Amino acid sequence: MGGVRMGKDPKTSILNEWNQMHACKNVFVTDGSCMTSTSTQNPSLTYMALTARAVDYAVSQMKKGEI
Amino acid sequence: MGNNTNTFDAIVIGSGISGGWAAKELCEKGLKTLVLERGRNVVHNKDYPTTNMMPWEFEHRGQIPVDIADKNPVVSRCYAFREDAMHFFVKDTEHPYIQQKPFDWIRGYQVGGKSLLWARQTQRWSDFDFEGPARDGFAVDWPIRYKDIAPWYSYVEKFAGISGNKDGLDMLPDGEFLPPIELNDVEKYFQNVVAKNYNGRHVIYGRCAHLTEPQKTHYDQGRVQCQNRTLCQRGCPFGGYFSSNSSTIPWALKTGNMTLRPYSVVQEIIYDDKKNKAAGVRIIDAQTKVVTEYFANIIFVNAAALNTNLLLLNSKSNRFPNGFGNDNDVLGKYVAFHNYRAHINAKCNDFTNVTTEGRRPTTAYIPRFRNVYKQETDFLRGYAAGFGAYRGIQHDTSGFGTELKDALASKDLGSWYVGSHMMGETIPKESNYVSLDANKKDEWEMPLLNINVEYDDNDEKMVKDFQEQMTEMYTKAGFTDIHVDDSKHAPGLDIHEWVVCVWVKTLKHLY
Ligand SMILES: Cc1cc2nc3c(=O)[nH]c(=O)nc-3n(C[C@H](O)[C@H](O)[C@H](O)COP(=O)(O)OP(=O)(O)OC[C@H]3O[C@@H](n4cnc5c(N)ncnc54)[C@H](O)[C@@H]3O)c2cc1C
Ligand code: SF4
Repeated sequence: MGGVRMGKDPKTSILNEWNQMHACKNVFVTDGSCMTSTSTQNPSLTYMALTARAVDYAVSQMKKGEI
Repeated sequence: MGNNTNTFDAIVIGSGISGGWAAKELCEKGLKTLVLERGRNVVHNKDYPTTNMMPWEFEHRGQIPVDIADKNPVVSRCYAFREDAMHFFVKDTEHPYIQQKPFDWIRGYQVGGKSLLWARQTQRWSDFDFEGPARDGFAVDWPIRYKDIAPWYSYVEKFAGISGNKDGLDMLPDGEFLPPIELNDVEKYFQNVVAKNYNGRHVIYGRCAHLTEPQKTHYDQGRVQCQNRTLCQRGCPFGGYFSSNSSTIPWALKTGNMTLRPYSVVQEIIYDDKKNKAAGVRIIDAQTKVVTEYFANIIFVNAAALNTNLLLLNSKSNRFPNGFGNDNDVLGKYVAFHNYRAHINAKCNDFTNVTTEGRRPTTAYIPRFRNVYKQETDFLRGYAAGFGAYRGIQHDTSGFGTELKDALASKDLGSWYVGSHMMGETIPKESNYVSLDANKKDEWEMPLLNINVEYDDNDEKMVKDFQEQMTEMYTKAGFTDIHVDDSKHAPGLDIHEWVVCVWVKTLKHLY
């Protein structure tokens, strides 16, 4: 997991809170590479939830003309 | 820009668990979506060649032939790489990578990715997890908290179908559960012993993506109740467990908005300097090697963790000379994993008047209890554990001839055995990273991935603590013949391998 981690600060992370690239707004990464840390739980349910959430955001941004 | 046939509203790279969800959601919202998958198509039911085979119908009785095992040592270390499912795994020889430090990279390249193979264990995160890096001062703070993701957990759980029990635990939030899969008497006994002796330690029903009581939304997907066959890794004809193939991919297809293109290895994401955003992707056809470009307004990258790193590192442009989105040199770094090294097995001398009937696709789960509310050990974070009890027919294989045959034909039940394995959190560090090899490329013109990931002192301490704490818990339960084990296997094999049959196999070796 990790390598393309989420974070608040574009200086220290690749993705924002919507799994959207800080540096390129129309690219979203929602597999295990986005994980900032791993916790102890099995990860896939969290990938599913992050993905559905990111799509919802991406499409709403697209409709607003932001992407 | 491309022509019409190569232009879509959205592109999804990869069709595994996360890509399947991206496809479903984008298509349901009306976006014309291209799903690019590097492997072959695997159509639910149609492409599960072994799903209804009997054990004796397998040429090697389920085992991996020695020549295949010898040529593919990495994937052969995965418990699920057996004759019945080996066609869903990447063989080491087919897709090489470079282990700068030992790393067992287990992959599934096909429509559905690893969703066909996974062990289906599903737990929510809590704020103890999302707040972890900030509280304990490692990595960077998560930009989200539990409240941000909780409604989305509910949303995906209802569709996927998750069985479990509402346990009301702070560290493992409850979900939208279908009825749980029962624990057996010995597991319930251990549950009581732990509850009586410890504050904050719990043995609970495993939570997993199995339809114990399908709802309308599952029937609408063409899925029915799990039959407890535990042959899931072959692909389940009942759709009893969640996979992209049984659930999200056919759902997305039904909208009429999805174009699925198997055999499409995405080589890079193309950056459009004029528009300051991604224009699309370049693929190479895995079979014909023809290179094609596809364009879209939104791109979802779901190639699975390490392949996504590879793809982004390989996507270089004037704007992103060091890899796509990589303005800060963080890409490829802070890779972390789960530490699954330690196991503990023992004998339970009681409960000889009961046994179990049939199979079940999960066991018990012990949520993290170390360092939850505050730091209490000399290592950071903690571990969860799988726990299961099993009683089987015991054969004495020491004799010869008739004596041996009679012993093998006996149906006498042996003792109960219990087993547990740790699932430890590891700390993401800059020094655990992946990078592109400067020279070597694969058949599809992709640089090979260098993997540079290892355990550290924190992990060693955690292994020891798991062994000590579980030994204490087993001792309080009166279990005997306690055997702790540190497999010392390389990182990467943390693939959540804790279905009961797995450690039963281990037990057979031990006892
Ligand atoms: C044996 C086993 C047991 C597991 N048990 C559990 C468990 O109990 N619980 C749990 O939560 N997780 C478990 N996992 C992990 C789980 O399978 C993964 O977390 C999950 O599948 C990740 O989803 P994904 O979409 O990121 O990747 P995948 O499901 O791996 O899908 C990625 C897809 O992308 C494709 N792809 C890769 N590169 C490219 C490219 N360049 N171009 C086009 N396509 C590409 C691949 O072919 C693949 O189909 C287990 C894994 C294994 C192997
Ligand atoms: S245990 Fe359930 S999901 Fe797995 S193969 Fe069986 S019926 Fe299918």
